[in-house]
Amino acid sequence: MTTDHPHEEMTPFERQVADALQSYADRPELLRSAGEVAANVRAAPSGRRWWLMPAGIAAAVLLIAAGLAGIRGLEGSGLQVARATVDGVIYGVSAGTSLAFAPGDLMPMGQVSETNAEDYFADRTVYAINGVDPRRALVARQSNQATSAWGGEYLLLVGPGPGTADLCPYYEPEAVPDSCVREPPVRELPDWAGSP
Amino acid sequence: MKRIAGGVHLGYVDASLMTANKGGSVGILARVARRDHLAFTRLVEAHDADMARLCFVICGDLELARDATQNAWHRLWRDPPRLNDDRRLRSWLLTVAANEARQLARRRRRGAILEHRSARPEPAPRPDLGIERVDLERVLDRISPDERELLGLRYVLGMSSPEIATQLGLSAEGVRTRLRRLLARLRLEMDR
Repeated sequence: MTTDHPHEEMTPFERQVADALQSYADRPELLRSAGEVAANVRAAPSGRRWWLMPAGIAAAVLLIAAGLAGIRGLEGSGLQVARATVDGVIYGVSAGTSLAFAPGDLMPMGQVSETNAEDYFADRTVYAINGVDPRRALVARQSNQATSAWGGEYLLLVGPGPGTADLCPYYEPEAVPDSCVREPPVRELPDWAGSP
Repeated sequence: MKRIAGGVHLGYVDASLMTANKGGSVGILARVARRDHLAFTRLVEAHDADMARLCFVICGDLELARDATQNAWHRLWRDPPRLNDDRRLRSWLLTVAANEARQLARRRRRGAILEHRSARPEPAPRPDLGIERVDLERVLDRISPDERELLGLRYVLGMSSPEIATQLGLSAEGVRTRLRRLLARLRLEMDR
């Protein structure tokens, strides 16, 4: 990968910015040996503390139906449910009109290998959502035709699994489903548990 | 890391990934999933420096940048992504590391360390930056982490607009527009 691309020649100012940034980012303190990184990884605890969802949201994992409130289903071709296959997994295709993503939330993951809703896709690239299991949900950029029909920018691909509560942080504020904001129910203890 | 005159790193280990695939052997990601330490180490050698540099541009803190990069590696080791192409791994690693850097920076801003940061002395101008009388750190402090990520991808890692577009899930034209606006803002800030 190089800085100079045939169609993207830098202006003198850009070149100055690039030189300054490269000088800024080239810190010897950032350079570590691969062995050190690998040793740190092996020594780290095995808990999933880096991407644990808040407890309230995690408790809502089972509420897939409520979690999908606000996401309008597509009608596919004829009366069929719109589907797309990615890496052998079949996903239902919906319009993600209530979802908003910032740059960096999405990472390219693969291609749709088969779908009955070709017209809705801008291209076949699908993106994993940061913090969301890609087997549960992916997004793809939707076609202009789809955008003019129902708005939004993305198609939501919902995979098999117990729920999509991990999507809660990505709902637009006015469209957050109840399942994302509701506190998990307090579990009542049986009588025999008693108090000390 | 090999370097060229412009100071851009060449990801030469990608070639080793292709070699692994050419030989009909399992992709490097699958090897990492099977706890192949050598494969993991090769990936670290190939990508760690770029990830750390991008994280540093995003959060402006050496310690946080190292932590963010380490977290990304930990995530890869514990839960390797199911990518159907090893070449997408670089993109995945950069994205995860950048997200970690943003989150750590956000957390630190909320904490008491904020006082320490605000109390630090203004850094002296660095003549090696090539922009006269410009305090790059001051300018970076005034733009968002997302904007710093864009600068890092374009001007530190040397990615093209289409590459950045794929990385961030945007259109190439959208990336170019954001860069144009950002450069105009930088110029304004630097002129102050």
